[in-house]
Amino acid sequence: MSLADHAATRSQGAAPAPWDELLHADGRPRKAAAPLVDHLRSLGVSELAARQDAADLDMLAMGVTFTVYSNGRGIDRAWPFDVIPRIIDATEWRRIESGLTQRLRALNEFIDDLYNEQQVIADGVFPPDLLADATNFRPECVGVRPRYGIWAHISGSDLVRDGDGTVYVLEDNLRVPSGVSYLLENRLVSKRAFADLFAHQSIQPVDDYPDQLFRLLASLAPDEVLDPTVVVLTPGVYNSAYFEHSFLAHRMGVPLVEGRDLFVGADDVVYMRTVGGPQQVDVIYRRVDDMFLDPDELRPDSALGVRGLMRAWRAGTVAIANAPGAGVADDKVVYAWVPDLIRYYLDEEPVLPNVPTYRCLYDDERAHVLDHLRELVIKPANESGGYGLVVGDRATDDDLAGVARAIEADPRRWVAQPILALSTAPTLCEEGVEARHVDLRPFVLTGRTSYVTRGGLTRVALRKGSLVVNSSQGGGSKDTWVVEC
Amino acid sequence: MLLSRVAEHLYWAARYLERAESTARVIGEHTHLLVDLPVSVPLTWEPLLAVTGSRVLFADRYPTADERSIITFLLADRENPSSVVSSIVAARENMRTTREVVPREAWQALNDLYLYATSHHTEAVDRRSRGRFLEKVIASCQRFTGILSSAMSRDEAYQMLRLGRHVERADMTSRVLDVRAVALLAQIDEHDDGSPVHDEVQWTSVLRSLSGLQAYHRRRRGPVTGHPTVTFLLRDPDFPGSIAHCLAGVEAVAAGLPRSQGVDMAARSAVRTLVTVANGPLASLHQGLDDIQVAIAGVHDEVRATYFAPPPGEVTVIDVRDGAGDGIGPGAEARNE
Repeated sequence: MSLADHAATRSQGAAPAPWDELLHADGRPRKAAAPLVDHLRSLGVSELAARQDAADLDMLAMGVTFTVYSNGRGIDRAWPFDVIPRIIDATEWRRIESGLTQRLRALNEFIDDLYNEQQVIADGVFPPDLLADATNFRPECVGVRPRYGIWAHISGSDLVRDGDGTVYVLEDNLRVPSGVSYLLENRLVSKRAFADLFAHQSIQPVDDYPDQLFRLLASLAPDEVLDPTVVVLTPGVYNSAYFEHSFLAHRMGVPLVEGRDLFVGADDVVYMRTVGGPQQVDVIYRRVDDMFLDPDELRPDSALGVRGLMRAWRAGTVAIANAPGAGVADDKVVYAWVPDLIRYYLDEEPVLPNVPTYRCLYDDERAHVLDHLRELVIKPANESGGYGLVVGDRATDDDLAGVARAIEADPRRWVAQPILALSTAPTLCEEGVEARHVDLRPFVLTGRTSYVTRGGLTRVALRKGSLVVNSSQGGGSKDTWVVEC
Repeated sequence: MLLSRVAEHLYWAARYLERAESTARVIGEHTHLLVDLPVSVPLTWEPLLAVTGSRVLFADRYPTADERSIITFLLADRENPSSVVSSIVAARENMRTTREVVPREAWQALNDLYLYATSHHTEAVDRRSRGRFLEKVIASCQRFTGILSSAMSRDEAYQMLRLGRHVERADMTSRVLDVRAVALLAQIDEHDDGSPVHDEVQWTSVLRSLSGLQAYHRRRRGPVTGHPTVTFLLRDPDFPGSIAHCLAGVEAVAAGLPRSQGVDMAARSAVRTLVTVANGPLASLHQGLDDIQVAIAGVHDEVRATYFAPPPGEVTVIDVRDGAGDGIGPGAEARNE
């Protein structure tokens, strides 16, 4: 099938046609995508397939992998990559960028408030019973004031586009979001595949991320240390995002440490074990979940953490990014309040809308959800990676009955959202070029100033018709070009 | 400052890669020798098992010691921790956890080698295609070492890689000498009628399996014979495969590392052992090589105690889900039968 036919098959599909990121409904390319689409059409499918093969080999040779688990064993898989990029018009991007910075400023004020004055509750904007229930609220963090009042330094928000072209924030990931390394690697591979286009078009570069990240981390060092020791803390080689941990440490030129490499001295200072003896650590970019950070105060069975780390953090001898407890604000129930939080803290209207969200803990909203399961996406409030997510119109009756029982049993654990006609992008499949659903995860750095990656990681559901884009569940990725036109 | 854990992985990555390369050379050379010698000369594949210290494991896994079994075992058998493919896998596993400290190209070279070796090892069983497989493995190892040498800062990470390479190489040279040279010298004794006809071919082969033939010829003219070959491989100061050169390398690395007195002393002590053995009678070479191997193991133990071990009283949590996956040795120790 050729690209020209692509639009035609789309319109034969189910009723409200999804928005395509590159093409208008009639098959003409969108303005920012025109040079790419013309180029793709001139190449033809077989040349495109050859470039895809070359790109796959590049990924394999560069050792770009992620780990999936089957039968209790981790298997290293090559990163699935679709060679056809996703294009975003730079004008639209500037608006998204400002919406994301706005959102993260508000969320950080919210977290800082929750662990300190709790003014947002006193003012009646956020319900106190919700905080009491929040699984990611860490009493160990109460009273702590990280530098600049920032808790979620590194975040990845998932954006989706509905059939009418509106871009929504689907969720915020404020704990240990991953994917940024793939964004950078995708660009390397796509530059090889489309070198000619990069030469003749204004495609915004993405590779300053590691520098920006390092600058942010160094700015968090206690006592304004001049040349701080920054480390990346990983759960280890068996973690599915290990490649990324290693990649970021490598690109920032800092040590990649595991819990067993660190210890906290009687002086409440964190040290790492080196060939030259103990060395003080100033900033930890941790990719270990909260609960595993410190067996003394959090999960006692954790072999991934460091005894006394929370004590050292509270003593202010070490900065941790993201701060422990930051996850309280990426709860899918809290999500529903984000527009209100933006108005409350910043006195601004949200630039990017939320997807309407039904919170099962409220009787009327739960009743609506239970009556409309077929038309909704039902999500567990605190899982990541798409686990436990049920799409109403694709689920079996048994699945839905199971979800209904789970909601009745523990309503706070569940939220539901309308099924969006997730946008699509042309993707090279076995049958030729076909539309596949995509989302977008830009990464936001928040410190004294803010930085947003140019574009983000476009994830694509490679299975026909599927809406699940997670790499652990058959998703792939695309390079994302923010194009000036 | 380099993390102790990372130092340990680098050290083992270098040892495993060096082991893969030297095992490939020894196998390649043995295949050559078999072609060179007339059928009347009894020559078996079993010395290869002795060199790699894996006779017992082999006997457990294969009913007959024929060429096919031994080559499969030494090259491709993942159950043999010292096989060429296992060594490459282990080197990559160790490097995978330390990628951020080595040049990206070096990791890619190792990854290429891994992909090639794990998918093409069956070609090596057939004698006709074996040479090409082994050459590719050797060339890839050299490519890796070359990238390190041209692109990697001379930091502590680099010194750990050098340390691993020197220790492994010294160990391998002592093993080849122990198995091949001792056997050849014994042959002379038995017949007591001057050198056997094919003596020179055999000694040449000993040198070639350690890629030392050319260096040997540059050092001394005339036929390749027993005593000078042994001396050359033990003590030549300039040939990178000689035990003396490797130990000097350890001393040089130690000079650039913190807290290195113990390693330095162990290396000096090994040099003293080496000199004693090299000056002693050839008849006691086997015992002497045992002493040298113990001294090399002493260097290894000192490296481990100084740089890898956590401070006293601290307990390290080691993931035991998969011994090979963890990446760190027991390599060399396990090879001692």
